[in-house]
Order: sequence, then structure tokens, then C-alpha cells
Amino acid sequence: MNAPLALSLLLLAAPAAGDAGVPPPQHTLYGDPSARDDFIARQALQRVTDEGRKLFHDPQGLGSTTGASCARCHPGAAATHAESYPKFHRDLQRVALLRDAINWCLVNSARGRALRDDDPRLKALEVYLTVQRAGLELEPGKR
Amino acid sequence: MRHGLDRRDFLRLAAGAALGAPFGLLDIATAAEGAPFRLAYLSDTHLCEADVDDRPLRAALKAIADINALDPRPDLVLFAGDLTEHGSPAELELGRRVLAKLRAPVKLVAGEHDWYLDLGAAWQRLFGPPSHSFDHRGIHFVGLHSVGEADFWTGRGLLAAERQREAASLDGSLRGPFEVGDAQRRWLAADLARVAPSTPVVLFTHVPLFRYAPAWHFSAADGADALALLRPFRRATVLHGHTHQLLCHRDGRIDFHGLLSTAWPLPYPPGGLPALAVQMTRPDPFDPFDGCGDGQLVIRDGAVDAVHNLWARDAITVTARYLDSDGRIDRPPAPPWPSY
Repeated sequence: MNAPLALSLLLLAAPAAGDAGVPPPQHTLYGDPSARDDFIARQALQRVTDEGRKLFHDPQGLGSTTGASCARCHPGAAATHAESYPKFHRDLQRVALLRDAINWCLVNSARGRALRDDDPRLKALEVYLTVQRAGLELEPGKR
Repeated sequence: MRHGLDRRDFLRLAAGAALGAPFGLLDIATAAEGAPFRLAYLSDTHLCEADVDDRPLRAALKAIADINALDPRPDLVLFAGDLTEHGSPAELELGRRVLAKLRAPVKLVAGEHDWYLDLGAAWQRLFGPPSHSFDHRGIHFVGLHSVGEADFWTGRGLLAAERQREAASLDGSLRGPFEVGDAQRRWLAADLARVAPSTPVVLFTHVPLFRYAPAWHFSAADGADALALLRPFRRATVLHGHTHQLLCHRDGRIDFHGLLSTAWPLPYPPGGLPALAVQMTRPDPFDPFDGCGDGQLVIRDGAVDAVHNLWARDAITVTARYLDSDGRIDRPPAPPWPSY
């Protein structure tokens, strides 16, 4: 096939912009992230997840007074169920966020102190536990 | 004190006062073979010194009160490892004094928590060789050391406490799998060579010998090699601690029973359970005794029924007939909902 003929066929096959009612995609900075943007976002999440994983295994970092880490009872973050929060917490007698449940364990199991809501350690733990449940359906309130 | 614990016992142990009774290793008299008899078990007490965390000590004393109150009294008590949480000499000595309160003789193996602070030095000083065997009422009993690990600490320059913490981390990433190891397997082969294949064998370890959740270090990498040594026997039962949950399994003529912990329960791992395993209901996180307990082993003609005395629930019995019948007879009660 000669080159001009091939080009003509290609042009005939391609829909003309706006012709078939399909508008061209929007072009915005936010909606069209570059590979670099994706990389930065993934790296940032990974950093906090790794920090949370480390804390989860670190009794000293958590302020545990018994030597118990979170992972002692929850290997691989099992039986933490981030996707089931918020939910009614029987011992606290109120609806709890995941961070409230983390603090309940720190106080009652590890006999440490509750972390403040803005403590980066609490945020990192919450991130780690949530990332472990990625892909699961959210089921707030599930027992 | 909760759950009927003897306050004087607790205070005496917590204060570190010496007890009169020595740690009782047994001198077993052989009774009539074939008659049913009863052992008790407790496991995974994870004792801390009382000023660090008194709860494991209270729970262990509760188990001992349970076992001492059994009527008829059990012939002996098996303990399947992780007597202590951090493996310090003080914790191990506390453990020795706690076990000395049992009115029946006790036989025990070590867990990784007991072992890796000093590579078993203090444990062996108090309790003797890591693997051992004895005969009782026509059964050959073996305590097999199962918490060997390839050296992950020297190259990394880990301190003793760091080594212990890593070895005791179920989902730890620095170390390799548990193993029975060549030396212990050679010992087992030599020990079993003296036993007629018609003799039933009851072997107790800390780590399961069948393949179970390697990602959580729930099994020994060379467990199959150790089990191969049991296969010539008419009947063998393997008991293990470590998993802190209701668990059973059958492989050929070998029955397996996981023993409950007195300290805390563990969730079931991802990746599936043995076909005959019946889960225990997900423990109530707000009841520190739920999912914990002690138990009894009823032995008839070499077959072992495990009675798991769950402290916050009805006891659950896993019979040899359940395992022998491939789950058709004596199925234990199912949980109302599976773990998730």
C-alpha cells in the first residue's frame, strides 16, 4: 500500500473530533497526573505505612510498659479490621474510630498512654492498618 | 481476686519468696496398659515479672488451680512451651516456681520466647535437656525441642534482647523459619529406634510439625522430616503450643492437637486451616480470658481425646474418633460465625 493511500484510510477510520458526540478529554493538572506525580504519591503513602508497620512491632516506640507490641496479638495486623470502623465500641460505650480502638489497646493491653489525635505515631498506625485492608468493602459498624 | 485465684499464692509468687516444693520431674510407675487415663495440659503462659505485667501470672495460677482441682487427679501435666514472655532468668525462675505448684508432675518443652535471650542456657539449667522421653502406662512420650533457627543475629550484630524480640515476633522479617534441626532429629530417631512400632507415641512440641501458616512462623520447616520418624508407629499423636487457638489435624496415622494458651488467643492466619480443624469463635477482645484456657488429654488404648477447657465458654472436646473418622463422628461444635 502506498503511503498517501494508507494515510487517507487512517483519517477515514478515525472519528472526527466532536463528530460522534464524544468530546475530547478534559486537560487539567489535577486530572492528568504525570508518572512523577504518581510516584510521589505512592512513595509518600509507603513511607507512612512503613513507619506504622515499624511502630506496630515496637513496644518502646508505642510507650508499652509491658513489653507487648501490637503485633504480639495481631500478627500481620490480623484481627484489626480497619474496614469495620467507625463502630460501636462496647468497652468505650460510644462509636469509635479506628484510632480510638488503637488507643484502647495501648492503654488496656500494652498498659501505656493513649496517643493524642494529632500524634504522628497514631496517624502512622492508622495508615498501616487501613492499607492492610485495601480492596475490601467498607462495612462501618460490622461486629 | 477474679476467677477464684488464691490471693496468697499470687502475692507469694509476685514477691519472689521461695517455695518449699522442688520442681517435680517425675518418677513414673508403669500402671496397667490399656486402661484409660488422664493428663492435663497448660501452655504458653508467657509469664512476666509481676511488676511488669501481672496478668499472665494470674492466668497461669488460674490454670494451675483448675488442674489441681481435677478429680481424678491427672497422672501428669504437659507444658508445650513459652513459659515466659522475655526469657529472662528472673522470668524463668518465676516459671519454675509457678509450675512447682502443680500437684501432678510436669513435663515441658521450651518455646522461642524462653530460648533466644541466652540461647537456652537458663532454661536448660532449670529444666534439663531440651528434648526428652519417658514411658507411662504403655505409651511412649516424647518432648521434642522445635524452636531452632538459623543464625540471623551474628551477621546483623543484634543484642541478645533484640535477638529474642525478633525470634519471638510471629511476623518478623529478619529471621528464617523454625526448625527441629539435625541434632534434635537425630536424637528423635535414636530415641524411637528403641520403641516397638506397636507402641503408641505421644509427642509434644512447641511449634506445629505440620505445615501451617509459614508467613506467621506457625510451623517448623523440617517438621515433615520429624513426622516421617513417627509414621511406622501404630498410632501417634502430636501436641503443640505456639498457636494459642483451637486447632486439630490428621495426617496418615498421626493426630495433631493445638493447645490453648493461658495468656492470650491468636487469630487464625490467612491461607486456610487444615481440613478437619474447627475454629473457636472469635474471642471477645474485651474479655481478657476469652479464647484462653487449659485442658485435659484422655488416653485410651493410645488414642488421645483433647478436652479444651475454654475459660469463658463451654469446653470443647476433639476426640480421636473425630480425627480417625475423617470428621464423620464426634464433630466438635462449630462457631456461630467464622473469623474474618
